[in-house]
Amino acid sequence: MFKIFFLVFFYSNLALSANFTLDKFKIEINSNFLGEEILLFGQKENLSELVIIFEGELKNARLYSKIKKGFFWTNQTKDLERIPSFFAIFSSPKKSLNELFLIPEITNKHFLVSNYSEELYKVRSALKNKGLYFEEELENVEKDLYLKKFKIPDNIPVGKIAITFYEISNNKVVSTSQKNLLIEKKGLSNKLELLLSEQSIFYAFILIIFSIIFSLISNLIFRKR
Amino acid sequence: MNFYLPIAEISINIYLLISIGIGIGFISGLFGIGGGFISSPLLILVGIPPSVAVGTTTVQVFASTFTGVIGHYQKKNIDYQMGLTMVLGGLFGTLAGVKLLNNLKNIGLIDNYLNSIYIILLLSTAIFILYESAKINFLYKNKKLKLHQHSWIHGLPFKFKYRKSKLYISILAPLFIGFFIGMLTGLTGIGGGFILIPCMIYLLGMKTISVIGTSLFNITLVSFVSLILQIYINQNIDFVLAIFLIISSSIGAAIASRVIDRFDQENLKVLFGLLLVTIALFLLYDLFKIPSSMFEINYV
Repeated sequence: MFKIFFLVFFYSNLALSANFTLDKFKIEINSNFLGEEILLFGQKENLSELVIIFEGELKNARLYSKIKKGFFWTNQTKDLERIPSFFAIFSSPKKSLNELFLIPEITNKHFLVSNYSEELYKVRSALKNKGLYFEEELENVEKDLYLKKFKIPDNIPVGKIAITFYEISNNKVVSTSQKNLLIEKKGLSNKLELLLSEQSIFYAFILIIFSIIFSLISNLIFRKR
Repeated sequence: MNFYLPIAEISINIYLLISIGIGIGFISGLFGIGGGFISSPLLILVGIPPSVAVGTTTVQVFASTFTGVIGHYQKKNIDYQMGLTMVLGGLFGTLAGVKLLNNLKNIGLIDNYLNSIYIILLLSTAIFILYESAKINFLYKNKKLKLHQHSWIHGLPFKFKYRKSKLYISILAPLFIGFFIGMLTGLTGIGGGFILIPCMIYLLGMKTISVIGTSLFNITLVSFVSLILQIYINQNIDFVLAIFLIISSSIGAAIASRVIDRFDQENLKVLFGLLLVTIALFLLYDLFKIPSSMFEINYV
């Protein structure tokens, strides 16, 4: 399957230099969604270094840090702005965050890897715990081709994930391109979310009716004779 | 088999969810409580985001207590006068609790102290119940006891006759208890049945048989108001999660109403006290143990 992708991709991009694509650009969340595997692949030149960053939509967030006070672990909270809902860094060869910090084109664009701050370290750790942060190396296959398989988790927030491709030489970006991966709810999931946000009173009404009906039914079934 | 929950934005095993629901419904029906103080932590434990767990719990509490109310209505075990007096106090209490919650959030105290408040409430209620049961079962085993002991509460003004419970007490007592429980609901999202029941038995002197029905009646009305507020203001109720919990907890509650007569009333109180101690110890352990992750993030 992957080979077919590669062949199509390789021959359609022969004239181009380094580039990337995905096996899909849209993920639909329905009632049996368990997360989805994504295949990232592309072409690169022999000596070029690649960094591909997936960045979800920026949202307000609350960060909880565990702190020990006496015998107890307590939460210290901090409200933060513009935190991406998903973040992944794929590179070839593998680049550490310290190496990325030296590339201004990347640090200026992606706040989460903009500096050495302790706060951003905590945010990255927290996202990693939720499966919403990756730092991995691209796998080289064939001569000039690379790929990476990874899983988008089931707790992925809906919205657009911007994928930015950087080709780097001597810590300077020589070419860049961008594509989007769309995460959206479909079917029942989408209808329920819309109903809750647009007709919340009707949503409440249906829930109450359901509650009463099921209560009555179970009471009838299990009632003592 | 897993199912995606659209508002919680996570997929979860259906059998696990149904087991949780039946268990909560059974406990709820057996002890005449909403079960919110068990279901919220359990749902959070299985990965449901806290705000959705708290919001959806109100629906489950409403459904399971409604089932119980029907059962007790048929058995004529509800003191409507007492229930409505406490609901009146509860409405003002809920508003005060929500206000207090906002103030605590603004000064950044809520996350540290909510669990501690919860543990103290659970343990003190449990100790009180177990002490009262021990008093009846061991200290005064062969002595004839009065229906209830008179305390300072019975000396309060504005007395009112509660015919069903055969009580002539100040209206201020149930109003204040309702207010206190309502404040707790606003503050923590729980129904407060585990405190309401001991208050009704030991402070007001109500008979156990009408306490459970009246408590369920009170919690049903308060959770109904809370449900509307949660959907309208916070939009944190997951329909699919709620439906699974409603069905399973209704079944659990209905099973409990079938088996409740097999239990001795005093043993039921002891069991209830032990349940509270277990949950309090579990929460206490959570404060002591080294966290599995040092940092957490929630989008707001």
